[in-house]
Amino acid sequence: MSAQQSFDEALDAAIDAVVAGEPIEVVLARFASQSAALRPVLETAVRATQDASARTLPMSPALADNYTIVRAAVERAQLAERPDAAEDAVGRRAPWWQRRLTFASLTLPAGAFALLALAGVSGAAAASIAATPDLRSAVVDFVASPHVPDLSSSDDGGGGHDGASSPRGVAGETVPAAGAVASPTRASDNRPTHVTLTGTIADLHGNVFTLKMADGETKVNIDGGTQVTGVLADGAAASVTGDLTAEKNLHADSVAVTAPPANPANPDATPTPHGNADQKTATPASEHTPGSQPDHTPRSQSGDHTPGAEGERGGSPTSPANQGP
Amino acid sequence: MFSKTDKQVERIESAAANGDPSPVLADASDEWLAEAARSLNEDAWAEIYRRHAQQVYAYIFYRLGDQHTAEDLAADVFVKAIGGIKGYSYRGTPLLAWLYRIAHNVTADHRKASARRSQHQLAEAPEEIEERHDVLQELDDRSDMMSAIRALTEDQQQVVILRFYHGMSNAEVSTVMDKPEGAVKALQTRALRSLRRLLGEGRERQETA
Repeated sequence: MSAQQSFDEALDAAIDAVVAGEPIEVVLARFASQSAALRPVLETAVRATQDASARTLPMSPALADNYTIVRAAVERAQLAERPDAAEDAVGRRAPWWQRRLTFASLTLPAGAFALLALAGVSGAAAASIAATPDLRSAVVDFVASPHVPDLSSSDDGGGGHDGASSPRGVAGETVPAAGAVASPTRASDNRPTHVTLTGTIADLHGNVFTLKMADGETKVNIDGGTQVTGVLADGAAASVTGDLTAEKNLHADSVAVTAPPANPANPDATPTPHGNADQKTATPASEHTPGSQPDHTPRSQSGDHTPGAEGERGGSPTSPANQGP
Repeated sequence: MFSKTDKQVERIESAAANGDPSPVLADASDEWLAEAARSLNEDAWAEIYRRHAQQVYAYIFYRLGDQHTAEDLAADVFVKAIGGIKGYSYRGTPLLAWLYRIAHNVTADHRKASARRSQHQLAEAPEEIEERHDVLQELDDRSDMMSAIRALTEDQQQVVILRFYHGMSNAEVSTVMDKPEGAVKALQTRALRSLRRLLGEGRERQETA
């Protein structure tokens, strides 16, 4: 070790000791042979440490507001990763017979057929995915269903949230879930179908409920873009129009309550707080679901801007600007 | 690792009822968040921003001394991080260290751009610039530690700010800077010597005035 390296080591140890609260003279005595050279540098280090502890960083309310820039960047990145997401958002409401015939519309069925032909390869892929670490599957699970109401309402992690068609589903495609790959029809029925279903509302929980029909049931998600007519309540009859995914999740464009419950189980039922970020009740990320337009509008109230789950869920914000450096 | 137990679901529901951030995210490890962030999950990015925006902002503020620029550049750091997340893989290095690295580059780019602008303005209207330029003021202020730090080289500034203002060890600084620890120690020594000289110059200047 050279003399300079030795000095660097001694200085570093001395700084650690002084920062830990040892008097400078005691520390210098420990490095007696280098104390003359150490002293001026160590004194400067002490001064820097004192300056750091005395200095208060200016509060920055704009820091929380700037999260909108970050969120917009995430959305741009999602669209860049799956460019057809934007096209879907615009074109998905038109029935297929009203859409223009495009090269893509001709080639997609052929692509789907080719994918089915490659089922053997998919099987091998599924085997490799099954061996992925816990972390990855946990993340996939989260990405598919990060929202509170969904977590409590489903055991499969999918909840009422459609990972395949939402921006989070983009992530799901990047790191495919084992369950998704296991479905041989995944490639062909990936796109939601626009349907109108009529049935009875059950298990109303936040912005999710089950629509029970004569031939089965489906989970319905409503969000800021959903038009709700009437009062949602368990037992009420309703007609729901929206996109039905392969996982039997219906992202509602509109919900019309056609008849109130015969014997209301919950007389206090109120319209679900869809689309209102100020509600205290947990809401799904309405911006993320295909049924709503992404919210790019910068919000002016700092509480709304607070990044993190609390901001989107209308909770009490913990502004980054209020935290110490 | 991170599975949804009944207890966890209970906590999540309770947090939602109180309007608190989801404990799933609040408890998530860097490794977990990095993986979710790679999948461009918005909530993961929100949590990363919530945890680290203040530190990134502080780092840039100490480097530049301008609050509004620091706020803007802090957002830039996260935008660049989103753009580069696909190339990032967690290997034990904290996410914050990676963000500091980006912050260092963003700050350096900003300084270079500012210097270019200043040179351009100087060439166009030297008399105006003479009035506005604050070099003399800055020299007078060198008794102030921050002004002295800003007169150091980019690497030296990074070491001093992370070591003394962010309370990192040299091992942690070496992770952020992607340099051997020995090199960081050498940088630290040179930085402190330069600081002492700069602070002494500032004091002499003040006494003369």
